[in-house]
Amino acid sequence: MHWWDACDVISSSGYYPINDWPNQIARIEKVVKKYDLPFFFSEVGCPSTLDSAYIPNDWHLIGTKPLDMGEQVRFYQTMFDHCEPLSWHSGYSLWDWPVNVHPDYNASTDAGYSVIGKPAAAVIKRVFSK
Amino acid sequence: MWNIHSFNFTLWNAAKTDMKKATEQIDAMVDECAINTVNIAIGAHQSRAQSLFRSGHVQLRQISGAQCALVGCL
Repeated sequence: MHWWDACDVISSSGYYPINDWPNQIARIEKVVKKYDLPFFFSEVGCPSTLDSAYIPNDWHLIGTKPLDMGEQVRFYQTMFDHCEPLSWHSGYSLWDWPVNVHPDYNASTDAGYSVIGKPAAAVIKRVFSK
Repeated sequence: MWNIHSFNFTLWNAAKTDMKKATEQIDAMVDECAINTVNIAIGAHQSRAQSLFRSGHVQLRQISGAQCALVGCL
């Protein structure tokens, strides 16, 4: 892309495999520092589904693989571990918090991206409260 | 330096969204995950989105101490 200088902010959808964050950060950092613009992840998240942390943008895994709350926790914790120390990083807009939550919603059986009532929410709150 | 702590809060069917319930969910977001910004993406024609933003969504800006930003009109 050749028009970063016309933008106010640089952003990325951070659906990166849990084991590839160092490579992705190095790739992004080159652009951010070259153009000296704020950077944040405009969309990033992971389902609470087994193996999703390795391919977090693949929603087809939801309902195909077993529910796994720990997978979502590991994704968020890994992302925060890599991104929080970065001086040029300015935050996240996580995917997602659903607008319409059914009255009978049960977080313990939801294998999707929402973190409402799930262990990942505690990880997020701990980082966001700093 | 600003630091965005936010969720995507996407109104896929903006015309039918219950704004009272949407406001309750933003309150829950702020409380449960300590967010400081709400990114509202409205899935509607731009003119419809502008109408929503100038009515109900303006009110959302004022709740819970969080900033609400209209980030896109699809």
